[in-house]
Amino acid sequence: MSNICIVVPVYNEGKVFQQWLPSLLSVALEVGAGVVVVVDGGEGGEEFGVWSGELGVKNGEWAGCERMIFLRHLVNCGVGAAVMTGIEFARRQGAGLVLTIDGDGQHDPEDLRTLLAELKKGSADIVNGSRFLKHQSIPVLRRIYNFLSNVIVFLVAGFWLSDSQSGMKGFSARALKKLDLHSAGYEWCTEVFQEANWYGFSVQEVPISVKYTRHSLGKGQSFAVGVDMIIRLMVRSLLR
Amino acid sequence: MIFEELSLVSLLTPLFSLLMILRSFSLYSRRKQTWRELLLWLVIWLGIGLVALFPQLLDSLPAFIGIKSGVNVLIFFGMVLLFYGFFRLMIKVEELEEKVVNMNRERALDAPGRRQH
Repeated sequence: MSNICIVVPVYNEGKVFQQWLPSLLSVALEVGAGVVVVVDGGEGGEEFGVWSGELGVKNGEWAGCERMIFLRHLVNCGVGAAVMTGIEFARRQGAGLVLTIDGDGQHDPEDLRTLLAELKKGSADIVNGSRFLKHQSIPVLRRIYNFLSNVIVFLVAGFWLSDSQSGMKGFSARALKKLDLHSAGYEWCTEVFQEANWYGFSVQEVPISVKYTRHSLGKGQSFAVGVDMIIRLMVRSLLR
Repeated sequence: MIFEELSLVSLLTPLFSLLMILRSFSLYSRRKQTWRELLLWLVIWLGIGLVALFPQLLDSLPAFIGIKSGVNVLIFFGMVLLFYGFFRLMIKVEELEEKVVNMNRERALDAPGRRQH
């Protein structure tokens, strides 16, 4: 089996997911990657299997050659928890490289190829897709939240990144082996770099495209999420 | 003697701060905390400890919302208790959340592709 795995956390994505699923699957099939969709509670999910079937991808049997599987959290746990469930599944299946992509359709799956190329070159243990390395339309508030999050990541992990909160990331076999995220929510993006700091992983950024819609803007970072993230990171540092 | 001037609050708070600083160093030595986190907690607990030991450090600030010192102590105690309670609750919530996540994860990994009840 191929040892590349694409993890997609989804929560109440509905039709949006159906719209961008074909482009994700076409990239996955071309690069020979399996797709693990983690349905993080919420409404629906069963229809995803039907959609993937219509697109010629078998659902449910990971051992098949075109692989796509749906894992379901009984209740909504948060995007970080969903990503870690996907990573754990990939690990148990012996995957060597893992890519993550947000389920809200803001990313272009074509960019996964860039991340994969960097990982295959072995130039970094963690490849971070950055929405800010390209000139593109991003709401000002989103830019501010991201900048503040970058400062927090720099303070707690020591990496200065242009887009620490990006959901599109790639992990090498070395990173995959040790990665053990405990953050359930958006702070998973910060915890990744904390772990990178502890284990001495190298981090590299590559430019990716982003397409904001009303749906994707309704999710993601906000001031409240930022405050919550800081408190949770502080509490987490006491829990260890 | 400086100790004769110390009140219970200004004695216990620095001691508690010292304990928390030691705990932070312990976590750091076990590689459970980064040096940045260690620095953050050092600044916080040293600040709390110093203010408790030398309350006059705060004198340069405007008089604490104009309330007489007797009430200040109550407010101070109240805030410390609330702060402590808040963190205890947060830690409990985090622990519970982690248990829920682990339970969900194991169920999801055991039965992929199926809705589980």
